Amino acid sequence: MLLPHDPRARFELDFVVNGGAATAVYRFVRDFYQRRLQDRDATARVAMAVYELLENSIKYAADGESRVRMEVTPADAKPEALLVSIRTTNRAAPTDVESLQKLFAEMEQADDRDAFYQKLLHRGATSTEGSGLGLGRIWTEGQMDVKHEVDEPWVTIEARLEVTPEVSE
Amino acid sequence: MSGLRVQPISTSELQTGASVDGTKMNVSLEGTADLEAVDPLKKLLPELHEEAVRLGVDEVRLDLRKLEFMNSSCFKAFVTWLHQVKALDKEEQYRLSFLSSSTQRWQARSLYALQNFARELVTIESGGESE
Repeated sequence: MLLPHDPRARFELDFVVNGGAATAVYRFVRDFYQRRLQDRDATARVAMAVYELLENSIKYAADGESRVRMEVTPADAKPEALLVSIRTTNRAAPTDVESLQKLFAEMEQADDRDAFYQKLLHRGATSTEGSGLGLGRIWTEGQMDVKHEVDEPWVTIEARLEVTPEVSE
Repeated sequence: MSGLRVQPISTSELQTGASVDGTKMNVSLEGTADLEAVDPLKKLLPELHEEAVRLGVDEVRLDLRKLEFMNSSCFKAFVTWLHQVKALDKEEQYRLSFLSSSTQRWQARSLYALQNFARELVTIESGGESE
């Protein structure tokens, strides 16, 4: 049972994603977690990540359907900290899976997040194709860990952030 | 929109305004720059760039204080805009000054990245609380 001020929470959404839904979920996440995390900066980062992951689903879901799962649980190593996890799962076309894997390979090899992000910005400035900015944004602006799993045709992307809630007086 | 040949955006989520005052162009974005705003912004920002060059402005001031969120696709449109300004001859270049909201926390991080992309062209001012 969750106490009124217990920050732990979990919810799942399983729906056909569209732009309006992504914005609605963004606002819900921002408002819901602001009360639980008591950290406006972390909340903004989490809400941004949810939006970007949902928008990726809209763009790349082969059948338009996406699943979103969000959890806030105690962090294993630090009892006072919370782990926020956002997972999206959708079917993706083989070419999109390949592009995603290339992007993650680049991220894994990058020494510096900011420099990598600038590389994505320069690439995006002259490209009409997808530039990976959404995932790059989660990784750099959001300072979140981002992972992916592929079980073709299913792709799951997870963004995680450890937060230490501020204690309200 | 006096004197400007641009089509403002007025969707359910995003409204824009633009005007010219001497050598300054003032642009405002209010609402949410989400998926619905991507195509209109990809049309508007190049128009603003063309007008800035045509009118010889030295600064475009962008008021984002009432911009609740901007997705990465809209953000990319601003990156492209800056790329176009960087590509101009020095005497044609103009600055982009962003007036940001301290309560919209995403703005500090995103605008910092834009500033790093074009340090000589971008300034950021904190406009305090958004209404």
